[in-house]
Amino acid sequence: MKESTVVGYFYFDFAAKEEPTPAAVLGSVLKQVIRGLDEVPERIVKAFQDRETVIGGHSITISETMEFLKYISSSRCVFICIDALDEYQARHRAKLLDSLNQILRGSPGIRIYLTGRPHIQTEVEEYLTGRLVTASITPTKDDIAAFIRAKLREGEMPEAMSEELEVEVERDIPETIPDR
Amino acid sequence: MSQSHVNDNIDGFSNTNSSNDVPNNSTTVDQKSEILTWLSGLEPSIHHQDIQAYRADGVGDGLLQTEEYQKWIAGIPSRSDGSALLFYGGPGVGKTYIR
Repeated sequence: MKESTVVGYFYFDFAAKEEPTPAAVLGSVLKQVIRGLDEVPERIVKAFQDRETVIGGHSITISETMEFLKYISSSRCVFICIDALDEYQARHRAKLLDSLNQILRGSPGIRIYLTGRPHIQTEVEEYLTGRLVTASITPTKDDIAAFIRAKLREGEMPEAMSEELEVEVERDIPETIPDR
Repeated sequence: MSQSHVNDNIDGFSNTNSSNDVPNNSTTVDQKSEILTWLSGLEPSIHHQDIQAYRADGVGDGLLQTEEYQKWIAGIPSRSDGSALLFYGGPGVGKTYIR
């Protein structure tokens, strides 16, 4: 029985000023995972100390990150979540997907969660053949109703909308969503 | 009263002992934060908090009940070894905001 679950995540964003390299993205995932641990594993402390002896230091490499994730996943459930893959430059994305595949090959316990626009599906399948399950996201009537309710409640001027209109909005807009 | 005092001392003693057992390269809070910065200068946790704040209760909960998600979270192989899950959808359907 593994003791606990740790999660590493990353959100891609078109609006980001700089495109992070795949190594930086995976380093960031590892950082979140380590935050979830009580202590930094000794081999990571050692790698950090060794890096200090090099002039100017060096950034963590993808293979180091993979090795550390593998080590951590031997005693914990490790989840990696990456949002909006389609918002990452194609060149970097290929490298990242290839690295994710290698991570899964080396550490069978790790599970990866991805989101993206539909056009990304073929590419992700290509890199994660035999590992990937895909599902489409479509909002349901219930989702739309819950969303409208939440947004109406948090409005800054609740009195600006009459109760009749509110009832109408909550009732009619979800009806425009086709049944699945 | 005196009993409790003795216990305090014992605790104090054993605490001292256990901290002596910790190897010298044990990480301090400062070192942990230095190591985290070394791993990556990126801070997705800030973005994550923004997303959390704007999430609407109950939206997208149905996705967590889908067979694809349930099998993936439980680690049950289906059409593949099931270690990776991709949820895809057009812009604005709420991919980023799933709980």
